[in-house]
Amino acid sequence: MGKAIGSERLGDLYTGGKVKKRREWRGVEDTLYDYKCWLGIMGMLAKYLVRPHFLKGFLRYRWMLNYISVPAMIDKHTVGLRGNHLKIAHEEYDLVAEDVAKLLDTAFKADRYCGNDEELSKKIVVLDENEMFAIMNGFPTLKGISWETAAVYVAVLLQGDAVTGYLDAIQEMGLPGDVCPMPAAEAGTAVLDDFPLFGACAVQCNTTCDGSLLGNGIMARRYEKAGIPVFQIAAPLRHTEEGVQEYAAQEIRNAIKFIEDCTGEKWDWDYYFENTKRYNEENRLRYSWMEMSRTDYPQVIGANLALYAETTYMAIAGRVPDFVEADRRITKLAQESFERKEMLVPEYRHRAIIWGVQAQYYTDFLPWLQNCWGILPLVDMLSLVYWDQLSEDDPEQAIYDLGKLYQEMIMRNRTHGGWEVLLDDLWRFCEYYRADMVILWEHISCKALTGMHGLFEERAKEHGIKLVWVNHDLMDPRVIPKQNIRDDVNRYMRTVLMEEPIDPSLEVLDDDKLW
Amino acid sequence: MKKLLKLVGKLILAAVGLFALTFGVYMGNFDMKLLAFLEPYMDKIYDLRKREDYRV
Amino acid sequence: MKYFGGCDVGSTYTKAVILDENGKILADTTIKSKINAEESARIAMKEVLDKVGLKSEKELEYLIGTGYGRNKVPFADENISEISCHAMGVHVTNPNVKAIIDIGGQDVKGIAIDTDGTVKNFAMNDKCAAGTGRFFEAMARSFEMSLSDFSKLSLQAKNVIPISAQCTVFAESEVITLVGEGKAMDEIAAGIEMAVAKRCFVMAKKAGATDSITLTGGCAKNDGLKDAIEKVLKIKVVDLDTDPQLMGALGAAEYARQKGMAA
Repeated sequence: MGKAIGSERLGDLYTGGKVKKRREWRGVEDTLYDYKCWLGIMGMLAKYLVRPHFLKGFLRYRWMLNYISVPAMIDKHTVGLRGNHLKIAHEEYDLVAEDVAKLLDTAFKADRYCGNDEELSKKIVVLDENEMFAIMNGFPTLKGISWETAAVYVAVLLQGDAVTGYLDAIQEMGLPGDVCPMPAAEAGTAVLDDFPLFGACAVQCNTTCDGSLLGNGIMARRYEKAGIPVFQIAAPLRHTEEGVQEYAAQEIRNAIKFIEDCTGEKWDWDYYFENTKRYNEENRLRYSWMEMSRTDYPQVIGANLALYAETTYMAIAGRVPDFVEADRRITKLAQESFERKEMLVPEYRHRAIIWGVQAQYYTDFLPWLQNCWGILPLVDMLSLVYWDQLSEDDPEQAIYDLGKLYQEMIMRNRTHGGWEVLLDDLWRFCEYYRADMVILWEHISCKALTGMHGLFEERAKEHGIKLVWVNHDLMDPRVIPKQNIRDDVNRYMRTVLMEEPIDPSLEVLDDDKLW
Repeated sequence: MKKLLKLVGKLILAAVGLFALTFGVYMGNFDMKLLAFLEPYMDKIYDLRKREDYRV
Repeated sequence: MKYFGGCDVGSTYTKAVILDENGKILADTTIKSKINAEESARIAMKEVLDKVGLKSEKELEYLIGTGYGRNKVPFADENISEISCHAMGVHVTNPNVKAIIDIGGQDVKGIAIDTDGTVKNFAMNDKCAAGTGRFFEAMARSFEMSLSDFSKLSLQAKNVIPISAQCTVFAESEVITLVGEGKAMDEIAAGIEMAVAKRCFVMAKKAGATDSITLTGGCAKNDGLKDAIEKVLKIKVVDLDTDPQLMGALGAAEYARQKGMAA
């Protein structure tokens, strides 16, 4: 163990329980840096927990218990990192952790069962977790809050089996077990009445797919019973076609009017364009990191790209200046490391595109690919989103831009819109990023992708790409545990490529209970 | 002056002690170990809450 | 003379093979697996060692273990994946064969073989019992027949009664219902074989394995299944000269021979 990358047998830190034996020793400088960030996180968590409404929320909602493992979540996504790569990771995760803490603080303050701040509640628009937040970009005095993000999405990121109780609850109501666990968990949380109640209104969306309509329907009924009106943005599926853009734009106009009517606030173009300038800059900076990944020395890859890109593209959307500042620092760090030709792991064996939707209970699978097999997860499907820069001064164009954003939400932009965006684009990205391998997340409950399985196989053969299927069930680790996910790769690497792992201690891990 | 130096000395010792303690907790992962130990007991809190009998 | 061993611990059967320096099979065995994989491996190895007059595994130049899961034969010099071993076993038996459908006790695999006997690509279903040996055991049980009698039944059928259930559990219920309705047993059996053959076709396509194909694993001895697969794939399935159930162990022994001779 020490400063050099790959100097520690990372698998030896696993105990079979919830926590690892100890934290990594990364050499004096990097360990002290990581320690300093840990102190910051602990201080931040304590700062929020002592607030009465926050503590009330913590003691009321079972999914809040998962948040005691926030430091462990950061540890597992920074595993094996050194130097600037470690700094980049902390820039991202520490900021996202604080942002989520702020979300919870606002939610609990406004929650009828906790802080019951009615004035604050009237300023909140409730949003889905799988929905672009950009509709809030024109309302300077309002907040868009998604309790689903906190209760379901982040909870599973922290603890793999966080929502299994909610899945069981909704299946007891008659929902089949092979439905996508994400909307199922949302619906389960709703039927158990385990979510904070606040907001002047709710704006839901039919993204990512029909599954969200399931969860949305149950929640809409609950909201309306509580006197919270609901609007559904019906974003068109065939987003590559010109013919649907007017409809998409009209949905945005309707949503804006709905929010204005429910809250009494007016859409502010100056505020919108201020946010859009930041959003455009965030996107430009992210593309620059991805452009670096076309070279022999990629810098911002794997989990450092995937989770952060989802957050900034979908949830932040330019509204929080801290994120743009972080992006600038990340770019500077990445540029320094690129010029010094710094590597993330001792050996680069394969360059991979990660396609499909990640297992939410195993987002640290990407660092595992790097550390165990030297497979570089250059870019992932969820980061390969809408490329265009949005208008920074034309209100008419801006409505169409918003319409396009809502159609091209992460995952949705690929799983819908025709086979070209899901199937053919993959091989173009393989060529663009010089990838020899595709790790294809096969979410077994996802009807959008599984139907294309045979076509993916045929195309992979035509293009000479090594295609490794990795099965999972999104938010239910009971169906396919993490070791099965690793074994899908282990088996392929040993059987077809006849390779040995870079870090053999990582090949088989007892981590079913691990935070 | 002597008193000041003594105070500074004590503060330095305290700071070093605090660093050693917190660094030890960090490196040994004791923060997570403690929370993992407490988690099953904390989980029982949520069973105490009376819930509205709401079903879709 | 140098001896090289291969041991394949399966969920239902454990197989062992010993080769000489030229790759000739000197001894082989197939025994029912015990719940403890290591014990199964030791018993199978003892049988083949006795047949060639060796006292222990230490007298082998090299021993390779294989089987579903990892390190099934902990006392072996090395453990290699069963997919690799199956491919090599078929390759040394018949180098013209380019693809395998391996139907084991609890999984189904489609394997594409490269020119040197290594694996070009593969696809496997190990999440569900449908289409595996377990499935046939359940069906034979419904028919109150032995597996061997059940396997020949469909060959007599003039028609095929399709089985619609995807799941082994539901398929068993469906078969019992059909039998109770007095439908022809051979036609129901033909439906069962066809259902499995279609799943095998999917596995084979996934692995790009559709040219010059053979069957391995216990179900390779099921004549009715072989007939159904030929109908679905529309190509003749190659018969192997050696017991297809031994391919994993044979491949392991061949890898042992290659590594032992190279050392």
